[in-house]
Amino acid sequence: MLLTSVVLILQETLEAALLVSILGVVTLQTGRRLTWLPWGFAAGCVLAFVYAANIQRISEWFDYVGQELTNAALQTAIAAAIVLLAWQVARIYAAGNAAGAALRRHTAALQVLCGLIISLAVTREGSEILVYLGGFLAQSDKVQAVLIGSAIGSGIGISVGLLLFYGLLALGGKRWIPLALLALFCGNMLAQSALQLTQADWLQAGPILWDSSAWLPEHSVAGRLLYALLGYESSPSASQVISYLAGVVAVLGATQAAIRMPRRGAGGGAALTGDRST
Amino acid sequence: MNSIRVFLVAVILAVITLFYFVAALRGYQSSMQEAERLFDKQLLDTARLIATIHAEQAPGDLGHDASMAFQVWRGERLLAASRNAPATVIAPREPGFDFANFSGYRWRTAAHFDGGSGNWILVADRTDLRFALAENVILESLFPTLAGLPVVGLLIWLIVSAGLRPLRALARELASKQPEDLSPLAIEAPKQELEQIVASCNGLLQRLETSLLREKQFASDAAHELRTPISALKVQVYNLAQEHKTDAVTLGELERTAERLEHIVEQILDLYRSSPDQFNASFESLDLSALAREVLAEEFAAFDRKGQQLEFRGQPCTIAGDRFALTTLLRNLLSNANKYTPRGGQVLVTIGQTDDTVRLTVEDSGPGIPEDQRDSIFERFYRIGRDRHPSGETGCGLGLAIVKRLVDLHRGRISITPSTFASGSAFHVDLPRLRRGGGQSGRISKQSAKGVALLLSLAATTALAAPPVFEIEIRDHLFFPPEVVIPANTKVKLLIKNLDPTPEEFESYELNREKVISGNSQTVIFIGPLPPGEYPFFGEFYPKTAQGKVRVE
Repeated sequence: MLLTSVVLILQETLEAALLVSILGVVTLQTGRRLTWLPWGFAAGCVLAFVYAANIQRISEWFDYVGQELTNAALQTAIAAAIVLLAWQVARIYAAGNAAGAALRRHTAALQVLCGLIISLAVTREGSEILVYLGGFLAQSDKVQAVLIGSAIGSGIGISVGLLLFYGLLALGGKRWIPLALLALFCGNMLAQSALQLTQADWLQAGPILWDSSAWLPEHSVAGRLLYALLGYESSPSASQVISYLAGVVAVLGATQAAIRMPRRGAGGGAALTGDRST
Repeated sequence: MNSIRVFLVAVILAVITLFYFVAALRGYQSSMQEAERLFDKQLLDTARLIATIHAEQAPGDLGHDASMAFQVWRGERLLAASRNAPATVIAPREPGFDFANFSGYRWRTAAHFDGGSGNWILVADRTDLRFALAENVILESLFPTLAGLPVVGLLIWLIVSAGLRPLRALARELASKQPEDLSPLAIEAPKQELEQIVASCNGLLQRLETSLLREKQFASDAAHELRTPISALKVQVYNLAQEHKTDAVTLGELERTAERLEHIVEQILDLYRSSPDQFNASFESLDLSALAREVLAEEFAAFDRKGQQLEFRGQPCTIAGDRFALTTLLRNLLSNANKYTPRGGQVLVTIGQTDDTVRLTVEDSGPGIPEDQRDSIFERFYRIGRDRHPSGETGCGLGLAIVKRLVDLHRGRISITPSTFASGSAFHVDLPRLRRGGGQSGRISKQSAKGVALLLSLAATTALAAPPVFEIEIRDHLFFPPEVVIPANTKVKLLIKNLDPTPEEFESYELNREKVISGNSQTVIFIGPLPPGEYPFFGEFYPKTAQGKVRVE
């Protein structure tokens, strides 16, 4: 019981903690405060509670695939918000310090996007945790094991997230790393979304492209960490791989577009270039 | 997120939690495997035990809920079985362990062949109960590990806080430094990691002090040297104007330029004189309203020239102040109002008082000062809009810097608000009101043996009752308040607190020509009983002297 709790809670917490870490680093590197964190987290908790409380009704939607579709929608929304965020962040980076300061004043969008991403992620992960805990906490003989397992799972997940956060901050100038992680996370979200749609029978899975379970099983510690961070699947289907690549390309494309955008502009572009050179 | 303490606590706690929890999981897994082995051994022992009993005597009345089941087989004949066991074999008849499902549960089975009787003894344990029993035991041992984590976190927080204390002390020391205080950082025996920072800061402060002194000295010397030629220039311009009346416009312009030059030189000298290290105050009890009336009368001509309405409203308010410094302060505030108020505008000077302070307000109907520039205008050479000020007035940007310094030297505060006119600003100067006794009488301070010194001529008189305490503070080598009023024929205790940041300087005090050598930061002098009168009071702090007065009423 304990191991089951650890595995489930760790998987959910780790994903959220890693996302918070990456978004935190991106926010601090653009000179903004983590105002979105408490708000996004609180909103996510409320939504998770609402989702978990109505899970029975939701799962009956669309001919009993409501839960899969809702999860897919949440994951796609997270991926879309990540693409927009990457575009905003790349604009601020590309504008340099002086123009970046001017842009920062007008980019409350960054705060809103981070808050939105976190609230959606917490909604999805939190609702799964609540449903799981709600199921077992009613059985008094398993409460202790479930609670201790949850504490261990969330402890490990949050610790890994914190270490990643400070590790990325320590890298300082290498701003492309958080952006690259955002791209991988976006791919991960779309791949998970594709999996949910496949389970709902709304999407053809396609052939299994490879099987690396012998080298790195999904259920090993390293496999779970890579799943949370990069969306690792030992035997992915074609639809998952395509979705994953689409997510990564979308973020990288948005980043490139944002970097090139000021150069294309006439007056503004010249000002930004001038500021960068000073 | 920029806090070193938060970073250290978070990272240390995260690393400990990670290793702690992963180790706990490993421990859990190995403990569960060990428990499985023990249960298996116990199961096999049970089978062997049953083998020693005659088959018919085996306790077959184990109910359906029992955690154990057994069968005794000889060939294909079931000799004995527990009631919860099925009629078919529950495990392969091969020595060893296996799993089986019957009676609605999953069972761990063991098979034992008794060579003596030729019987197979098959025993089974319910796996769910085995698992729950083992897990409960292990969880009991895990619980303290988890419960102890907040305590570990708290301890880490305390330890990191203690480790960062010297850094916080250094930050406090730096933050508490007044802008004009360039003395070395008073940190004794800094930690090894901070030695270089403290040494660098002190070196920097020393170099800054030297440069500032050189700059001040240069400005003062230059201003002094310029005064004489400017005066000569003005005389020559006047003479020229008398001789060549046809060039009145050009010569008038020249005269105004010379006056402006003289004004700048005077302002630079005033600024130099008002710096804390140069200011030799002669504080006295004076009526600010009376002084303001005098200055207003002197400055009235300037207002009259611009057709401005100058109004004064005030009541007698006594403060302790330096007459010359307060005159300079009033003159600068009035000059500022006169310059930046348009022709025909209004200027109102009011003086009022509360229990603790006397408030001087100079307000005008000029264009006003934007809120974001209200702090900057007290900086030297700062002018709103530079030389493009809408008033068209020229200035050197020193007047308000001088005002701020003089207010600081009087332990006052200056603030700016919009004026009560339709437009314009109001400058409020709050100065401490002179009160009898000078300090909070009745507040008994702890006297240290080191700090006690008796005034030689007065010490012989002893008082049985605790004498009232009068406090004087020393800041920037000046007494505050400069005048202490004590009751006649009563012994009092004068507590002198040196709040200057250089307590190692030599100090001595002198009352009525009697010298008292005293301690460094806190000195207690017993005075009285004295007949009514005024007694000069001096303090010597190398290399300065401050003077005050003890008035006995």
